[in-house]
Amino acid sequence: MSMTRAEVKITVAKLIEASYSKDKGLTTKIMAEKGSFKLTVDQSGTATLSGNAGVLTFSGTPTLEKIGIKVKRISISFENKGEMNIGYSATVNLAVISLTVNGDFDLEELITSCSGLLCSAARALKGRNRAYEAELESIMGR
Amino acid sequence: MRSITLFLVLFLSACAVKMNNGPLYSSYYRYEQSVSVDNIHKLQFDFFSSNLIKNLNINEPEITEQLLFKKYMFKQKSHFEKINEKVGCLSINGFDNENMPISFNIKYIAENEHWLIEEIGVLFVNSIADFTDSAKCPSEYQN
Repeated sequence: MSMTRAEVKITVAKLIEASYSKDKGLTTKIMAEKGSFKLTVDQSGTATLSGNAGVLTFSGTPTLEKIGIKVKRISISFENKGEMNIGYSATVNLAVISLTVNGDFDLEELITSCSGLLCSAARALKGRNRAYEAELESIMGR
Repeated sequence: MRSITLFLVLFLSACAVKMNNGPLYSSYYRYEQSVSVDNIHKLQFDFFSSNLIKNLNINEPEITEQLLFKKYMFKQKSHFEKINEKVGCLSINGFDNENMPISFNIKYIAENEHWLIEEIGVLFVNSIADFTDSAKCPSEYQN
């Protein structure tokens, strides 16, 4: 199978983390404001997080490389419903098919997941870390 | 006598179900029954539009995998279709091999008197309550 339900959800989490690594303050500002915001990644790997509080551009390439399949585009619509609860709808456009998944997550839980030294190392690995991905999957909702 | 009656009722019901399938589902059914990793190269033009498969390198395993998208759905529950002249959309609700709900929303175009797949949307549904009860095109719910 190309890309599973879990892999799409984990990709959403990893893109948010990449945004957070680029600029903690602006990422949090955009995501913590009540209302809608969006995250897109184009074919070249350029990612953009945009909302009422601002716009942040960062590289989605490391995340795309870990997927291991050619991605044409990723588009995620978020809705901050209040009290750190965020709903999302993500579409990943591959060469032939598109995959869409919806879910909810707690923003604080995602940001504080795996923040220790060991997990920083896990994130830095070029390959995939199963325990880390399992944690992300459970945060991003079933 | 009773078993003959039962047999006739079941036979006629099965025929009715088959006859109620529209042209898009019939085309999907043929795709689902026919294609495999061994013959997808040969049969791609029978099921996918020229627009979809042009510029694809079908020798790449990831492309073959995506053309065999039927594998995402292990069991079907319901399907709906709508057609507007030479364009149509088919929605199929079902379950994956972990019994999680999943839907296909497929856009078809009429090409050379065949209904061919132009666009494929796989929707990882959260619950059965979210299944569509009418045909949806991929663009109607994608971001």
